[in-house]
Amino acid sequence: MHHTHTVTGMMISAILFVIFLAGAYSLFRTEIQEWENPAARTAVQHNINYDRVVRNIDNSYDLEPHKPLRIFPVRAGHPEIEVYGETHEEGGGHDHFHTHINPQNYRAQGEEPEHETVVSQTLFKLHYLDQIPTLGLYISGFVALFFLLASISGILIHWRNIVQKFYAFFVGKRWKQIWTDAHTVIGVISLPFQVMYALSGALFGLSLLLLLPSVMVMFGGDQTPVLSTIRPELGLEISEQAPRAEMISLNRLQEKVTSDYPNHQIEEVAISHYGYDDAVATFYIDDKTGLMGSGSLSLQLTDGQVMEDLSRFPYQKGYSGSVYDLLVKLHFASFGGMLLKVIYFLLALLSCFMIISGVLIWQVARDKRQYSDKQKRFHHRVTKLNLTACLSLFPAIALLFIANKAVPIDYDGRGVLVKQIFFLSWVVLAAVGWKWDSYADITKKYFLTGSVLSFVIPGLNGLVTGDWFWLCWDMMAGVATIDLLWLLTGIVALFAVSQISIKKEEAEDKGSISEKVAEPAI
Amino acid sequence: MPANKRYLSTRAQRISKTLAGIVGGYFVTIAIHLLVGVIIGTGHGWVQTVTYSTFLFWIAAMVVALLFEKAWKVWALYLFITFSCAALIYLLR
Repeated sequence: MHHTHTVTGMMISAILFVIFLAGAYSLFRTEIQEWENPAARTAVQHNINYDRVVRNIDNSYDLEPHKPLRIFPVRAGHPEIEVYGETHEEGGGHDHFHTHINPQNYRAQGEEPEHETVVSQTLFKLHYLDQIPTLGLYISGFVALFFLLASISGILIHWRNIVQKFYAFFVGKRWKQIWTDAHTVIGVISLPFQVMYALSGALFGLSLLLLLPSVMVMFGGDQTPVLSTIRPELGLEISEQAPRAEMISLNRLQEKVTSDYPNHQIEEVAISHYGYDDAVATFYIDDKTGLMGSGSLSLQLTDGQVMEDLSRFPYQKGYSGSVYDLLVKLHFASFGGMLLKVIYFLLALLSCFMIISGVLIWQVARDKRQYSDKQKRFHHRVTKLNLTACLSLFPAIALLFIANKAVPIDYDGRGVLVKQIFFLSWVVLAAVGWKWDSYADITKKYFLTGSVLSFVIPGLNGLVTGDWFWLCWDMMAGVATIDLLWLLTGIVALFAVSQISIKKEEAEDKGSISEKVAEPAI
Repeated sequence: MPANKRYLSTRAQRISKTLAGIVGGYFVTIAIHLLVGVIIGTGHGWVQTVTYSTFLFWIAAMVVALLFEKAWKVWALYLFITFSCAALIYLLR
């Protein structure tokens, strides 16, 4: 089991670190969207004229009437209405389309939003390695799967003394002991969190692998029964012979949903077979406070009747309607407000620290006479590769935020430029780090760079947009949150840097104890 | 920490066992879940359960594979389970 734990752990270490760090920032996706996009900073407009949206879409596109239309209203971080649907093509085919709609004049303006901002999008995509074509999602899925294997084999190693491990504090011991204790204590504390992430992450990444056999064997190649488990309205049978019918107003239905569930907000409206006798509108709603708080309401568009068997009423869902929703909520931390997100963020950073400490245990445990010099050089290189690739991501993410404000908002092609700045700076930073030889040095210099850049972010935001975080706290909480997050990050990282040098003089050893203090809070 | 050499089987055996755990374990997992689906019916409850139980089962299959001493035994066992499940599914449907 030791061997299994070590081998799986070392195989996934760096990728898992990237996934966890990018994921930690992605928890604040909505806030980052508010922060990065000036248009998203204005107050959210809640009353949307859905009928007008459908009318305008119908005028602008040659809609395929038998295919569903999905409307995403204006939400925090999303200043425009978004619509997904399918158009009719010559010769019977159909084509997917996606458009943004301005909530003031309801004009469809195509696939690109008015200003392209990519900070949250880049981090979110990095979280499931979407930048690697085709394979990225599957790689991240397999990393999650082997993370589950590493967690389970870790429990199997430690289950006998798991209670004592919980109390094992780590001061004044040898380096190997410090890393080992840190690794196991944090592993035990954050175990439920990590197993949940490993499971749900594997599901999101590998769902195809999982569903393909069932679809082929059980449903004769038809994937509708599986998909309708998650989105009930996809299981609706649409009759192409259904007669045309008069539709009642979508706005009236929306008012009904809002008055029935005043604390829920509408996330999405899915419309199927609009204009025909069997048309249905499904409202996906979420109150963002309870684990069972999300759900869907399906209403007939001919008479406004709620379809009981198709709807999943929040807090009244059965087992078969809630497992997947629950996994989604647990994964995206969308059930407990800001405090929960902060706890998730800290736990994610603890997990990052666990990965690094695991790599360092591996290196220190092999720093012995029975290994040849060649082997030791290999261990040293692998450890260094892990440290440089992982820790340089911290200043690179800070640079991504800076690039968002430094590149003018009206500049054409700014999305590509910002992304290039981020990835190039990551590569360059990692390459520069390769020159530094001691692990403490690497850690210290990356933390110092990251810390300085962190202080720049709230300042630059204030200078460019005028929304200093002490001014916009009431109106734009998301923006202020991100600024404060970076300010705190800067302070903690700077503290860590000061600790590293002291410890180095005392111990004259590789690695740094203060990273343990610092990492959790960044 | 590095495991004691005494408790490790040979390299080839280990690689074969790991492969049996990952590849064989996948087929065993899917076969058993499909069999359960055939017996209790493939309703929404079954699909929702599959979303998490498969991964736990798959990991268990990987761990169990490593507990065996000889790799061929793992392969034989996993192939046997897969094919008997497949036969049962074929008969029951």
